[in-house]
Amino acid sequence: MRSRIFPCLPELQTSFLSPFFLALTFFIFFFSFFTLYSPLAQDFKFSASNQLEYSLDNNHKDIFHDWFDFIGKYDIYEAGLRYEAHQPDDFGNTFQEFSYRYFQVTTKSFQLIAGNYYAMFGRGLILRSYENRDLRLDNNLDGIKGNLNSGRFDLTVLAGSPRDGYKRINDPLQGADGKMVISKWLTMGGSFVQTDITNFGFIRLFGGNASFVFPHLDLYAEYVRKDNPSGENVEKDGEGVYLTSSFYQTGFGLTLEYKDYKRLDFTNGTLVYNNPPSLTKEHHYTLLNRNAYILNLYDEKGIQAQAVLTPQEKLSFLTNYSYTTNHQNRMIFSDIYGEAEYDYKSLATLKGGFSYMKNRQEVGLPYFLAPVFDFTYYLSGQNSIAFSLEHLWTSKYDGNLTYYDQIISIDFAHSPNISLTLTDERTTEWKTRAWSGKKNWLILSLDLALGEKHNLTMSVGSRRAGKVCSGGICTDRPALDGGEIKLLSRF
Amino acid sequence: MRNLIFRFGIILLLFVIPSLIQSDTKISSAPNFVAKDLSGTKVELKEVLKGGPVLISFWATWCKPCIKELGELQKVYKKYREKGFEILAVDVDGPRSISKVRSMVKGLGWDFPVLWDESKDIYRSYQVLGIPHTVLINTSGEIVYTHTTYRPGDEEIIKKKIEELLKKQPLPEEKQEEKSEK
Repeated sequence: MRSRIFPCLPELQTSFLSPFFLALTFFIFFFSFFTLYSPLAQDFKFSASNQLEYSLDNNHKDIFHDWFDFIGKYDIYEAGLRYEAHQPDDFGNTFQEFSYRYFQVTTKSFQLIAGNYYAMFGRGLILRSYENRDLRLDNNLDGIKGNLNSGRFDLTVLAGSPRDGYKRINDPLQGADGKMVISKWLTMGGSFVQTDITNFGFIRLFGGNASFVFPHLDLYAEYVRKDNPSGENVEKDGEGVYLTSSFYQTGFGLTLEYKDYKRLDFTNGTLVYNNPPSLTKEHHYTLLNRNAYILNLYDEKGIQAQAVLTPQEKLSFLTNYSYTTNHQNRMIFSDIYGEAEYDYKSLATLKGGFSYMKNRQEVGLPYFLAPVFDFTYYLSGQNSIAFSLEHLWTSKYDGNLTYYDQIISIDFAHSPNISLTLTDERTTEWKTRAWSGKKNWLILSLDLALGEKHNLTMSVGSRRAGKVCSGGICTDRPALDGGEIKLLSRF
Repeated sequence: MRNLIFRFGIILLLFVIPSLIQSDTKISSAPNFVAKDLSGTKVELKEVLKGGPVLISFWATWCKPCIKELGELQKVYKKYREKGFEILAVDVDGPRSISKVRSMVKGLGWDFPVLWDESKDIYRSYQVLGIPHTVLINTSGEIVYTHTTYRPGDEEIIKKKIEELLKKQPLPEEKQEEKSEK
């Protein structure tokens, strides 16, 4: 594959003796010695990072991901570059490219970026361009972005073409986002985005927002309208409303949210340009996230309430309620969750929680009951042992089909460098339908901090396939039956 | 397959060895940034460093070890804040959870400043690859300690590092008085 950013580069070879890897070797050693010994390094600031993930599976192809980022700074100037390789990725696609490069000038009141950049307008109802490597998602824009900030006024103007999967699409997008501080309590803003999408026609989104901040209370409201005047394949208009308020004082916090998204899907079929709040709890537990709600911007409305209470330093409670329907008032998703955590004399921590969830997006219209429990015992200042239990009952077709999934993990940690975790997952889902695969999965993971700049995680065993979700966006993660290595490095 | 293992080995050597040499001999400077706190006030790292050493902690409301670590760091903050030590908790929540940050921070009784990093500009400039991620910076703006993930007991190492920094660079008396008045 030829690089689109540097088309004169020859095809990048996969061999470690290829010109690319030799060049990379030279670059890394040059960079190391330059930052160590050169007097010029005092004025120039360089940093780099690398994220490498490799898994070797007995049943499927190997998966290899690597992201290398480099940033160079001099005074108000900054330039950056990312090389990305997937050989292959989770779905068998092979890709390698300089996928992100930019030049940036930043002063106290002004910023200009030429090249690749990310952006979010408001709370993401109009535009959200971002990267999430766990979701294998990166919809950065390639073009130009300018920001002016005078304290009371903040204006961002951008133009560029977005990335969709591994390709840059030729549907140029323009947008602007402004904010004005009206008073100590009130900030108002407006956003606008337009693009001409192949096969969908010209689409324009615009909206306004207001933010009130009082002592112990804040409110935020945003309204967005979508027009698609020339569109033949989609409805001509759509709209979205998002409201939130938070009340807080020391030891207590309450957040209430409301959403109403009607034909607000801003997409070319695969790439989604906007990502508003989904109003569902992002759980810490694997099993609770396995049936997470997937955002449907075409037709949904709902509420979420979350409260945090810390009556004393060693005791805290968290409760959450989420409820989403479509515009015919048919319930799509609901989740009632509560947890309590207690720290016993700094010797042990106990945490218990419970979730009752219904998800009508899943086959069989299931509901789920899930108790979760964590126990951590501090053996000494540096050593601790933790036990975690997640138990998820799934009931389908009004309770005719019931099974459970369970995860138990035991973790030994030696601060700051070592963690060893054994995780067992089992299911009785095989009792409810034809089943040919595994019924239980066991994986051992060793997490090592190599100095302050490197983290290495090595896992051996098997792990179940499943959804990985964040912010209402999900991706399927393949099963593992073999070994996996993850290396995070910063330079 | 052999090619991949080879490639992984080469990359491991290329990346780990030079920077292991570097980590013992070179102290890098912390990128300056300006960000808004929960009340909308602009906070600039360079200005905060004039008051004493700063610990930056990257976190999000959905990150279980981050909440655990910040709970422990709150105790560290209580102990050293009057001597000039400051924590900046940089929140990297997306639009889904950003509205819950303020109520969670107050609900859990954290006193240190929490900064928004909606577009993850600070996150990227510090080359963060996972959270929780902590960075301890001395008053000269040099990064003296970084750590990714949280294991119980990590706060003890941070305490030792802070004490070393406060011994080397004690806060002037008038600044100490200002801090204790706050």
